[in-house]
Amino acid sequence: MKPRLLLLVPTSTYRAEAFIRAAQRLPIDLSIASESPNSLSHLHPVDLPTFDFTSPADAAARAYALAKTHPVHAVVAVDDQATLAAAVISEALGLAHNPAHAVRAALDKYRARERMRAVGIAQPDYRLVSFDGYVDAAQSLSYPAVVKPLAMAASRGVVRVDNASQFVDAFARVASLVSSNASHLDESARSHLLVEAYVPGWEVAVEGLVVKGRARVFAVFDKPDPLEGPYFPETMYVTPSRLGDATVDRIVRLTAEAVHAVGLTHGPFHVEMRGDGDRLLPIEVHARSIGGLCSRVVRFADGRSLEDVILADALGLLGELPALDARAAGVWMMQSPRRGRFESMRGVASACEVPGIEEVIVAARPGQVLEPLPEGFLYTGFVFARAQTPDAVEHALRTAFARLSPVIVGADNPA
Amino acid sequence: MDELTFNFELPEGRSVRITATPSMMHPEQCTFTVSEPVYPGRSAYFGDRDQSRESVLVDRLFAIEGVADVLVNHDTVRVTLVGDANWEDKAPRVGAAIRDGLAAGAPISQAVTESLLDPQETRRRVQQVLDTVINPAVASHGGVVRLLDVANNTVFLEFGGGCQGCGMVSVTLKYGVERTIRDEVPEVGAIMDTTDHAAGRNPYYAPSSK
Repeated sequence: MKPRLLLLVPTSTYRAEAFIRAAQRLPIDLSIASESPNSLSHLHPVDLPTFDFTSPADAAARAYALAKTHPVHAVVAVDDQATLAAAVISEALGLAHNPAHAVRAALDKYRARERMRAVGIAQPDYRLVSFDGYVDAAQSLSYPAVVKPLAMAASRGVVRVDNASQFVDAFARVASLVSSNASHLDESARSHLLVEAYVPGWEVAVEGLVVKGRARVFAVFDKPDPLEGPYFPETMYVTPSRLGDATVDRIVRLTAEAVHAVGLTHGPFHVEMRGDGDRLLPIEVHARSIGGLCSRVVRFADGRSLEDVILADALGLLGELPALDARAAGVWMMQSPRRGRFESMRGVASACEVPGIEEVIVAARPGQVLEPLPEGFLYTGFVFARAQTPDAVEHALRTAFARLSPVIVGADNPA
Repeated sequence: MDELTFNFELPEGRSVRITATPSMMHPEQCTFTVSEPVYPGRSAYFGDRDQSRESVLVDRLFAIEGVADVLVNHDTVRVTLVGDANWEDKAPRVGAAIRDGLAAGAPISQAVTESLLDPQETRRRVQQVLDTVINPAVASHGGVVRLLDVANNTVFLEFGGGCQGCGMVSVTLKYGVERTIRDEVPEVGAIMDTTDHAAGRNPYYAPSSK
């Protein structure tokens, strides 16, 4: 009997295809659970079950019933929306996984900060501010500060404010955003925002895997564009980092400390970190791998993808963690520049001709309504590059991006 | 691995050249182009060894550890591996299997050829599955699956409506549509999605970073 993998795939993911391709390369049976029914679930209930990820206990009960007739050997969540359900299901099935309390902390920026502070990891000043107390809080805060939802990804709802007036406006705006997306949030996350001191300096993203209890970093990505606010759009990731060996060593060590402080014991992690002079501060710790379609930038020397490695690790088939492909690589995440209805992307063929560009993917669909940050949550596209040096990758990405032009119409009243 | 070429001598003084080209997009797949037809004018897909029906080529290929499926199409043989896709190790063994198949005279057995449905019959039965089972279900998501063509036993599909550009279409294709068609028409070979998903205007599930 082949081992069975239970893959939790939120229907909003960019990564269903990448994980399915990886699963098909393994000698396994696969069940793919989503929070909304697949239109063919009734024909293939074991292959395509439906689990409510917002109710992990209910998901665990359904997984337990499925596993009675089709034993499950590993559970993997594709995105943040399903990581807690994966932890609770794994616990119910007696499978090795991150503990649920650690995943809860990784999903909540305030809880993560509390855990890191508890073990002495330096943090910016931070506090939890409630939706009904922010006007009073405005006068007692230090500025510049950053307002953040407790549980949103990709810089959504993250706003820098430089004074009390900006704070009040930004808080109301982000609170409204959270309230309109609150159905899956717990009480704290739906009624509070995190407010923390703005940390100037550069930012990196760190990708890795907890293997046998040890946090192993395999890529440190520079974010070459300055992220100074008022919003913090993710644009470019380039690896390997050009910060120098000593700094990268410190980033790797601090990443491991942060991952362990949050309590993650298994599987992928994604950490964001800021640095300024000698100061190095973890910004976020996630119990999942890099988001969007960005995982395509991670390729291992033996040809495996990030999803291949994540699934092999979960099933106990990984062996040694493979080395990363020796070439530099990078991705440009294209954000919507303004509100409106996406029609098309101009310049794709020209962008693909830039030396070093591997692929341009138009992610937005014709007719989709786009919004820029801080409310926006759709990427218009992704550009991928690979070259001998990080400088060459960055140059290729900038050149390609300059040739791309999204056609967005109806900015005044897109709905 | 870059492209690899093998030259083999066959009985009666014939020689054959086989070029192995690993897929850039799907590293688990490698296509072997042969200098003479392997299955002249025909195509057959083998999802496991049981479908071989004593075909020398297919038996030899499935004897190689990790081979998951085989698609033979006129003068090409596409092989998919599970596990470690180490083509530097596996490509010479696949080349030798193709050589053995050609040396046997008929790489694909007569029994396989006789089992292939007439394309018209395949089309009729696949269309029936789409009409009676699949499309009534995907219509609940505003979707539709169209049968574009059947070439030998390879089925070409196109997704429309809510399926076109849907973030979950790969799940629906592989674990819904494909399984349903194979359950009902086991003789079909490869099932190909020819849809331009980037042009989908109304995907049922749209990817986002929500």
